[in-house]
Amino acid sequence: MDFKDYYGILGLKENADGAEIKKAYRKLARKYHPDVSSEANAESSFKEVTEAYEVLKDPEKRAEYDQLRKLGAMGSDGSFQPPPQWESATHFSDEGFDGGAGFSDFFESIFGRHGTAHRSYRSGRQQQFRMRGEDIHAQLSLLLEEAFHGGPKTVEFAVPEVDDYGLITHRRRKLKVKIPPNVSPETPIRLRGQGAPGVGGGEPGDLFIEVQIAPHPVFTLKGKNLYRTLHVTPWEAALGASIEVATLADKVKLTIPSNSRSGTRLRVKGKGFAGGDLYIELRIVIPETHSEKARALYRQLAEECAFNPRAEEERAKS
Amino acid sequence: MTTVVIDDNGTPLSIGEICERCAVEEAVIVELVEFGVVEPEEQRVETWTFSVSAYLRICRALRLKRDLGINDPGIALALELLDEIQEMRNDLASMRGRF
Repeated sequence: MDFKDYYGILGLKENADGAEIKKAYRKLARKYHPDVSSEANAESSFKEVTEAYEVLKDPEKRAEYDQLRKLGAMGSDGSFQPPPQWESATHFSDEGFDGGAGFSDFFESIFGRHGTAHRSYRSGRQQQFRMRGEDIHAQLSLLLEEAFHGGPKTVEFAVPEVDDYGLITHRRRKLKVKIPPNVSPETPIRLRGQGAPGVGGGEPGDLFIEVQIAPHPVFTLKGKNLYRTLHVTPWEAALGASIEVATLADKVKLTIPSNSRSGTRLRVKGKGFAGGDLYIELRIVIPETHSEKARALYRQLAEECAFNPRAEEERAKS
Repeated sequence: MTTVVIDDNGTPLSIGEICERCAVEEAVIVELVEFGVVEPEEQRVETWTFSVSAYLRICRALRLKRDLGINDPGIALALELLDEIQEMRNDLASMRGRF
Protein backbone atom coordinates (compact mmCIF):
# COMPACT_ATOMS: atom_id res chain seq x y z
CA MET A 1 0.00 0.00 0.00
CA ASP A 2 1.36 3.42 -0.90
CA PHE A 3 1.50 6.21 1.62
CA LYS A 4 -0.89 8.88 0.39
CA ASP A 5 0.45 12.38 0.38
CA TYR A 6 -2.69 14.29 1.29
CA TYR A 7 -0.85 17.60 1.30
CA GLY A 8 0.50 16.95 -2.17
CA ILE A 9 -2.94 15.92 -3.45
CA LEU A 10 -4.36 19.27 -2.36
CA GLY A 11 -1.22 21.11 -3.50
CA LEU A 12 -0.49 22.36 0.01
CA LYS A 13 2.51 22.82 2.25
CA GLU A 14 2.59 20.89 5.51
CA ASN A 15 1.98 24.00 7.57
CA ALA A 16 -1.15 25.05 5.65
CA ASP A 17 -3.88 26.43 7.90
CA GLY A 18 -7.55 25.50 7.93
CA ALA A 19 -8.56 28.29 5.57
CA GLU A 20 -5.93 27.32 3.01
CA ILE A 21 -7.00 23.68 3.18
CA LYS A 22 -10.62 24.58 2.63
CA LYS A 23 -9.78 26.86 -0.26
CA ALA A 24 -7.57 24.28 -1.98
CA TYR A 25 -10.21 21.60 -1.54
CA ARG A 26 -13.00 23.76 -2.92
CA LYS A 27 -11.01 24.66 -5.99
CA LEU A 28 -10.06 21.06 -6.75
CA ALA A 29 -13.55 19.75 -5.96
CA ARG A 30 -14.93 22.10 -8.63
CA LYS A 31 -12.25 21.01 -11.06
CA TYR A 32 -12.79 17.29 -10.63
CA HIS A 33 -16.44 16.96 -9.71
CA PRO A 34 -17.73 14.14 -11.94
CA ASP A 35 -20.86 16.10 -12.79
CA VAL A 36 -18.86 19.08 -13.99
CA SER A 37 -15.46 17.89 -15.09
CA SER A 38 -14.52 16.61 -18.50
CA GLU A 39 -11.16 15.27 -17.28
CA ALA A 40 -10.73 11.58 -18.01
CA ASN A 41 -9.92 10.62 -14.42
CA ALA A 42 -12.40 13.02 -12.81
CA GLU A 43 -14.13 10.54 -10.55
CA SER A 44 -10.98 9.02 -9.05
CA SER A 45 -9.34 12.43 -8.68
CA PHE A 46 -12.44 13.76 -6.96
CA LYS A 47 -12.44 10.85 -4.54
CA GLU A 48 -8.77 11.38 -3.78
CA VAL A 49 -9.26 15.09 -3.15
CA THR A 50 -12.31 14.42 -0.96
CA GLU A 51 -10.38 11.83 1.01
CA ALA A 52 -7.46 14.21 1.55
CA TYR A 53 -9.84 16.93 2.71
CA GLU A 54 -11.72 14.53 4.98
CA VAL A 55 -8.48 13.99 6.87
CA LEU A 56 -6.87 17.42 6.76
CA LYS A 57 -9.96 19.48 7.63
CA ASP A 58 -10.33 17.64 10.92
CA PRO A 59 -7.62 18.72 13.40
CA GLU A 60 -7.68 15.35 15.19
CA LYS A 61 -7.44 13.28 12.04
CA ARG A 62 -4.84 15.61 10.67
CA ALA A 63 -2.75 15.22 13.83
CA GLU A 64 -2.95 11.44 13.54
CA TYR A 65 -1.99 11.57 9.91
CA ASP A 66 0.93 13.94 10.61
CA GLN A 67 2.11 11.64 13.38
CA LEU A 68 2.14 8.64 11.06
CA ARG A 69 3.96 10.67 8.49
CA LYS A 70 6.62 11.67 11.01
CA LEU A 71 6.90 8.18 12.46
CA GLY A 72 8.33 7.25 9.14
CA ALA A 73 5.56 4.83 8.48
CA MET A 74 6.81 4.88 4.93
CA GLY A 75 8.79 1.72 4.28
CA SER A 76 12.14 1.84 2.54
CA ASP A 77 10.40 1.04 -0.74
CA GLY A 78 7.91 3.85 -0.17
CA SER A 79 5.14 1.46 0.80
CA PHE A 80 3.06 2.04 3.89
CA GLN A 81 2.36 -0.21 6.85
CA PRO A 82 0.42 1.19 9.80
CA PRO A 83 2.34 0.66 13.06
CA PRO A 84 1.26 -2.44 15.03
CA GLN A 85 -1.75 -1.88 17.25
CA TRP A 86 -2.47 1.40 15.56
CA GLU A 87 -5.96 2.50 16.40
CA SER A 88 -7.57 5.71 15.34
CA ALA A 89 -9.31 7.83 17.93
CA THR A 90 -11.38 9.65 15.37
CA HIS A 91 -14.54 8.70 13.63
CA PHE A 92 -15.39 9.00 10.06
CA SER A 93 -18.43 10.75 8.67
CA ASP A 94 -19.25 10.32 5.06
CA GLU A 95 -19.95 13.38 3.02
CA GLY A 96 -18.33 12.72 -0.28
CA PHE A 97 -19.55 11.92 -3.72
CA ASP A 98 -21.44 8.65 -4.07
CA GLY A 99 -22.27 8.52 -0.37
CA GLY A 100 -18.61 8.65 0.54
CA ALA A 101 -18.13 5.01 -0.39
CA GLY A 102 -14.84 3.88 -1.72
CA PHE A 103 -12.09 5.66 0.19
CA SER A 104 -8.68 4.11 -0.28
CA ASP A 105 -7.21 1.14 1.57
CA PHE A 106 -4.67 3.58 2.93
CA PHE A 107 -7.44 5.65 4.48
CA GLU A 108 -9.14 2.58 5.91
CA SER A 109 -5.90 1.27 7.38
CA ILE A 110 -5.55 4.46 9.40
CA PHE A 111 -9.08 5.44 10.25
CA GLY A 112 -10.72 2.03 10.15
CA ARG A 113 -13.16 0.35 7.88
CA HIS A 114 -16.01 0.76 10.31
CA GLY A 115 -15.95 4.37 9.44
CA THR A 116 -16.95 3.72 5.88
CA ALA A 117 -20.26 2.11 6.74
CA HIS A 118 -23.29 4.02 5.64
CA ARG A 119 -24.87 5.94 8.50
CA SER A 120 -28.17 4.17 8.24
CA TYR A 121 -26.66 0.72 8.46
CA ARG A 122 -24.45 1.41 11.43
CA SER A 123 -26.61 -0.40 13.96
CA GLY A 124 -26.02 -3.67 12.22
CA ARG A 125 -29.44 -4.81 13.35
CA GLN A 126 -31.23 -5.00 10.09
CA GLN A 127 -34.47 -6.61 11.11
CA GLN A 128 -35.66 -3.47 12.79
CA PHE A 129 -36.12 -1.35 9.73
CA ARG A 130 -36.96 -1.66 6.11
CA MET A 131 -35.21 0.46 3.58
CA ARG A 132 -35.42 0.72 -0.14
CA GLY A 133 -32.17 -0.15 -1.91
CA GLU A 134 -30.20 2.68 -3.46
CA ASP A 135 -30.64 3.61 -7.09
CA ILE A 136 -27.54 3.09 -9.16
CA HIS A 137 -26.48 5.42 -11.94
CA ALA A 138 -24.39 3.97 -14.73
CA GLN A 139 -23.09 5.35 -18.01
CA LEU A 140 -23.11 3.56 -21.32
CA SER A 141 -21.32 4.73 -24.44
CA LEU A 142 -22.87 3.67 -27.71
CA LEU A 143 -22.13 4.13 -31.36
CA LEU A 144 -24.83 6.11 -33.11
CA GLU A 145 -25.88 2.98 -35.02
CA GLU A 146 -26.18 0.98 -31.78
CA ALA A 147 -28.29 3.70 -30.19
CA PHE A 148 -30.49 3.82 -33.29
CA HIS A 149 -31.05 0.11 -33.82
CA GLY A 150 -30.84 -1.06 -30.20
CA GLY A 151 -29.61 -4.54 -29.32
CA PRO A 152 -27.85 -6.47 -26.57
CA LYS A 153 -25.14 -4.64 -24.66
CA THR A 154 -23.25 -5.42 -21.47
CA VAL A 155 -23.35 -2.80 -18.73
CA GLU A 156 -20.89 -2.93 -15.85
CA PHE A 157 -21.38 -1.14 -12.55
CA ALA A 158 -20.68 -1.37 -8.82
CA VAL A 159 -23.49 -2.43 -6.50
CA PRO A 160 -23.23 -1.48 -2.83
CA GLU A 161 -24.17 -4.40 -0.62
CA VAL A 162 -24.47 -4.71 3.13
CA ASP A 163 -22.51 -7.58 4.63
CA ASP A 164 -23.31 -9.48 7.85
CA TYR A 165 -21.67 -6.78 9.95
CA GLY A 166 -23.76 -4.03 8.44
CA LEU A 167 -20.82 -2.70 6.42
CA ILE A 168 -20.95 -1.66 2.83
CA THR A 169 -19.02 -3.55 0.24
CA HIS A 170 -19.00 -2.86 -3.47
CA ARG A 171 -19.44 -5.69 -5.90
CA ARG A 172 -18.82 -5.33 -9.65
CA ARG A 173 -21.79 -6.52 -11.55
CA LYS A 174 -22.25 -7.19 -15.24
CA LEU A 175 -25.64 -7.10 -16.79
CA LYS A 176 -26.66 -7.88 -20.32
CA VAL A 177 -29.23 -5.33 -21.33
CA LYS A 178 -31.41 -5.31 -24.41
CA ILE A 179 -31.11 -1.72 -25.49
CA PRO A 180 -34.33 -0.52 -27.12
CA PRO A 181 -34.05 1.33 -30.43
CA ASN A 182 -33.78 5.14 -30.51
CA VAL A 183 -32.04 5.69 -27.17
CA SER A 184 -30.22 9.00 -26.73
CA PRO A 185 -28.74 11.13 -23.95
CA GLU A 186 -32.23 12.53 -23.52
CA THR A 187 -33.84 9.17 -22.94
CA PRO A 188 -32.06 7.43 -20.06
CA ILE A 189 -32.80 3.77 -19.56
CA ARG A 190 -34.42 2.61 -16.36
CA LEU A 191 -34.19 -0.96 -15.13
CA ARG A 192 -36.55 -1.62 -12.29
CA GLY A 193 -35.17 -3.60 -9.35
CA GLN A 194 -31.63 -3.84 -10.73
CA GLY A 195 -30.11 -1.38 -8.24
CA ALA A 196 -28.81 -2.07 -4.75
CA PRO A 197 -30.73 -4.68 -2.75
CA GLY A 198 -33.14 -3.39 -0.13
CA VAL A 199 -32.52 -3.72 3.59
CA GLY A 200 -34.84 -5.62 5.93
CA GLY A 201 -37.06 -6.81 3.10
CA GLY A 202 -37.22 -3.39 1.46
CA GLU A 203 -37.57 -3.11 -2.29
CA PRO A 204 -34.40 -3.10 -4.37
CA GLY A 205 -33.39 0.15 -6.04
CA ASP A 206 -33.42 0.75 -9.78
CA LEU A 207 -30.59 0.97 -12.26
CA PHE A 208 -30.50 4.09 -14.40
CA ILE A 209 -28.31 4.07 -17.45
CA GLU A 210 -27.37 7.34 -19.10
CA VAL A 211 -26.45 6.93 -22.71
CA GLN A 212 -23.57 8.74 -24.36
CA ILE A 213 -23.21 8.68 -28.09
CA ALA A 214 -19.81 8.63 -29.74
CA PRO A 215 -19.28 11.21 -32.47
CA HIS A 216 -20.17 9.79 -35.88
CA PRO A 217 -18.21 10.73 -39.02
CA VAL A 218 -21.35 11.49 -41.02
CA PHE A 219 -24.36 12.00 -38.77
CA THR A 220 -24.94 14.25 -35.78
CA LEU A 221 -27.84 13.74 -33.39
CA LYS A 222 -29.56 16.75 -31.86
CA GLY A 223 -32.64 15.94 -29.88
CA LYS A 224 -34.56 13.57 -32.13
CA ASN A 225 -33.22 14.95 -35.38
CA LEU A 226 -30.22 13.77 -37.34
CA TYR A 227 -28.02 16.11 -39.37
CA ARG A 228 -25.61 15.42 -42.17
CA THR A 229 -23.97 17.32 -44.99
CA LEU A 230 -24.06 16.24 -48.59
CA HIS A 231 -21.50 17.23 -51.18
CA VAL A 232 -22.89 18.25 -54.56
CA THR A 233 -21.31 19.58 -57.76
CA PRO A 234 -22.04 23.12 -58.99
CA TRP A 235 -24.03 21.72 -61.90
CA GLU A 236 -26.10 19.45 -59.65
CA ALA A 237 -26.87 22.47 -57.52
CA ALA A 238 -27.70 24.68 -60.51
CA LEU A 239 -29.70 22.21 -62.57
CA GLY A 240 -31.19 20.12 -59.80
CA ALA A 241 -30.57 16.40 -59.43
CA SER A 242 -31.79 13.19 -57.94
CA ILE A 243 -29.19 11.70 -55.62
CA GLU A 244 -29.19 8.56 -53.54
CA VAL A 245 -28.29 9.51 -49.97
CA ALA A 246 -27.52 7.27 -47.01
CA THR A 247 -29.70 7.77 -43.95
CA LEU A 248 -28.80 5.96 -40.73
CA ALA A 249 -31.20 3.13 -41.53
CA ASP A 250 -31.19 2.87 -45.31
CA LYS A 251 -30.99 5.04 -48.42
CA VAL A 252 -33.34 7.59 -49.85
CA LYS A 253 -33.61 9.22 -53.27
CA LEU A 254 -33.18 12.89 -52.60
CA THR A 255 -34.37 15.48 -55.07
CA ILE A 256 -32.05 18.44 -55.16
CA PRO A 257 -34.08 21.40 -56.42
CA SER A 258 -32.54 23.54 -59.16
CA ASN A 259 -30.80 26.74 -58.03
CA SER A 260 -29.79 25.18 -54.69
CA ARG A 261 -27.12 27.07 -52.82
CA SER A 262 -24.46 25.90 -50.44
CA GLY A 263 -26.00 25.62 -46.99
CA THR A 264 -29.48 24.78 -48.31
CA ARG A 265 -31.12 22.42 -45.86
CA LEU A 266 -33.38 19.64 -47.07
CA ARG A 267 -35.55 17.63 -44.73
CA VAL A 268 -36.24 13.93 -44.99
CA LYS A 269 -39.22 13.23 -42.79
CA GLY A 270 -39.10 10.43 -40.20
CA LYS A 271 -35.49 9.44 -40.80
CA GLY A 272 -34.24 10.70 -37.44
CA PHE A 273 -34.60 9.08 -34.02
CA ALA A 274 -38.06 8.10 -32.79
CA GLY A 275 -40.03 9.96 -35.44
CA GLY A 276 -37.51 12.80 -35.75
CA ASP A 277 -36.30 14.00 -39.13
CA LEU A 278 -33.05 13.92 -41.07
CA TYR A 279 -31.73 17.29 -42.19
CA ILE A 280 -29.33 17.31 -45.10
CA GLU A 281 -27.21 20.37 -45.68
CA LEU A 282 -25.85 20.87 -49.17
CA ARG A 283 -22.25 21.79 -49.67
CA ILE A 284 -21.09 22.65 -53.16
CA VAL A 285 -17.65 21.32 -53.99
CA ILE A 286 -15.65 21.64 -57.17
CA PRO A 287 -13.09 19.24 -58.64
CA GLU A 288 -9.45 19.77 -57.74
CA THR A 289 -8.43 20.11 -61.37
CA HIS A 290 -10.29 20.93 -64.56
CA SER A 291 -9.58 19.78 -68.09
CA GLU A 292 -8.87 22.43 -70.74
CA LYS A 293 -12.32 21.83 -72.17
CA ALA A 294 -13.93 22.31 -68.75
CA ARG A 295 -12.01 25.55 -68.31
CA ALA A 296 -13.28 26.76 -71.65
CA LEU A 297 -16.82 25.98 -70.59
CA TYR A 298 -16.30 27.89 -67.35
CA ARG A 299 -15.06 30.89 -69.31
CA GLN A 300 -18.19 30.68 -71.40
CA LEU A 301 -20.24 30.49 -68.20
CA ALA A 302 -18.47 33.51 -66.77
CA GLU A 303 -19.41 35.55 -69.84
CA GLU A 304 -22.98 34.32 -69.74
CA CYS A 305 -23.69 34.91 -66.03
CA ALA A 306 -23.55 38.47 -64.86
CA PHE A 307 -23.29 37.34 -61.25
CA ASN A 308 -21.26 39.11 -58.59
CA PRO A 309 -21.41 37.23 -55.26
CA ARG A 310 -19.61 40.17 -53.56
CA ALA A 311 -22.01 42.83 -54.72
CA GLU A 312 -23.51 43.40 -51.29
CA GLU A 313 -20.11 43.69 -49.63
CA GLU A 314 -18.93 46.18 -52.21
CA ARG A 315 -22.08 48.24 -51.87
CA ALA A 316 -21.60 48.39 -48.12
CA LYS A 317 -18.05 49.65 -48.48
CA SER A 318 -18.72 52.43 -50.93
CA MET B 1 -25.34 -13.32 -16.77
CA THR B 2 -29.01 -12.43 -16.93
CA THR B 3 -30.47 -10.54 -19.80
CA VAL B 4 -32.77 -7.71 -18.90
CA VAL B 5 -35.32 -6.17 -21.18
CA ILE B 6 -36.38 -2.64 -20.51
CA ASP B 7 -40.09 -2.63 -19.98
CA ASP B 8 -41.12 0.59 -18.27
CA ASN B 9 -38.82 3.23 -19.59
CA GLY B 10 -41.49 5.84 -20.00
CA THR B 11 -42.93 5.58 -16.50
CA PRO B 12 -42.51 8.95 -14.79
CA LEU B 13 -41.61 9.29 -11.11
CA SER B 14 -43.85 11.02 -8.60
CA ILE B 15 -42.44 13.75 -6.36
CA GLY B 16 -42.83 11.36 -3.39
CA GLU B 17 -40.74 8.70 -5.12
CA ILE B 18 -38.04 11.23 -5.95
CA CYS B 19 -37.91 12.46 -2.34
CA GLU B 20 -37.52 8.89 -1.11
CA ARG B 21 -34.81 8.02 -3.63
CA CYS B 22 -32.81 11.19 -3.02
CA ALA B 23 -33.55 11.29 0.73
CA VAL B 24 -34.68 14.93 0.65
CA GLU B 25 -37.75 16.88 1.71
CA GLU B 26 -40.34 17.87 -0.86
CA ALA B 27 -39.44 21.53 -0.36
CA VAL B 28 -35.98 20.86 -1.81
CA ILE B 29 -37.48 19.60 -5.07
CA VAL B 30 -39.99 22.46 -5.15
CA GLU B 31 -37.09 24.92 -4.91
CA LEU B 32 -35.27 23.25 -7.81
CA VAL B 33 -38.41 23.52 -9.93
CA GLU B 34 -38.92 27.16 -8.96
CA PHE B 35 -35.39 27.97 -10.10
CA GLY B 36 -36.02 26.18 -13.39
CA VAL B 37 -33.53 23.37 -12.83
CA VAL B 38 -36.16 20.83 -13.93
CA GLU B 39 -39.68 20.91 -15.29
CA PRO B 40 -42.37 18.63 -13.88
CA GLU B 41 -44.56 16.88 -16.43
CA GLU B 42 -47.74 17.72 -14.56
CA GLN B 43 -48.30 21.25 -13.26
CA ARG B 44 -50.19 20.80 -9.97
CA VAL B 45 -47.73 20.31 -7.09
CA GLU B 46 -49.73 17.50 -5.47
CA THR B 47 -49.57 15.45 -8.64
CA TRP B 48 -46.13 16.48 -9.89
CA THR B 49 -44.41 13.79 -11.88
CA PHE B 50 -40.97 13.86 -13.44
CA SER B 51 -39.50 12.05 -16.41
CA VAL B 52 -36.56 9.73 -15.84
CA SER B 53 -34.20 12.28 -17.35
CA ALA B 54 -35.61 15.00 -15.05
CA TYR B 55 -34.99 12.68 -12.10
CA LEU B 56 -31.36 12.18 -13.14
CA ARG B 57 -31.00 15.94 -13.46
CA ILE B 58 -32.33 16.35 -9.92
CA CYS B 59 -29.75 13.81 -8.68
CA ARG B 60 -27.04 15.77 -10.42
CA ALA B 61 -28.26 19.04 -8.92
CA LEU B 62 -28.31 17.54 -5.42
CA ARG B 63 -24.76 16.20 -5.82
CA LEU B 64 -23.54 19.64 -6.88
CA LYS B 65 -25.35 21.17 -3.93
CA ARG B 66 -23.83 18.71 -1.46
CA ASP B 67 -20.32 18.39 -2.85
CA LEU B 68 -19.62 21.94 -3.99
CA GLY B 69 -21.93 23.89 -1.71
CA ILE B 70 -23.74 25.58 -4.60
CA ASN B 71 -27.08 27.23 -3.87
CA ASP B 72 -30.20 26.82 -6.04
CA PRO B 73 -29.70 29.78 -8.40
CA GLY B 74 -26.08 28.70 -8.78
CA ILE B 75 -27.10 25.14 -9.63
CA ALA B 76 -29.57 26.37 -12.23
CA LEU B 77 -26.85 28.48 -13.81
CA ALA B 78 -24.20 25.73 -13.61
CA LEU B 79 -26.44 23.11 -15.22
CA GLU B 80 -27.49 25.48 -18.01
CA LEU B 81 -23.87 26.32 -18.75
CA LEU B 82 -22.92 22.64 -18.64
CA ASP B 83 -25.70 21.89 -21.14
CA GLU B 84 -24.40 24.62 -23.41
CA ILE B 85 -20.83 23.35 -23.16
CA GLN B 86 -22.01 19.85 -23.97
CA GLU B 87 -23.88 21.09 -27.01
CA MET B 88 -20.86 23.01 -28.23
CA ARG B 89 -18.63 19.99 -27.70
CA ASN B 90 -21.01 17.88 -29.75
CA ASP B 91 -21.05 20.48 -32.53
CA LEU B 92 -17.29 20.69 -32.47
CA ALA B 93 -16.91 16.92 -32.60
CA SER B 94 -19.26 16.62 -35.55
CA MET B 95 -17.51 19.45 -37.39
CA ARG B 96 -14.13 17.87 -36.80
CA GLY B 97 -15.41 14.56 -38.13
CA ARG B 98 -16.76 16.16 -41.26
CA PHE B 99 -14.09 18.49 -42.56
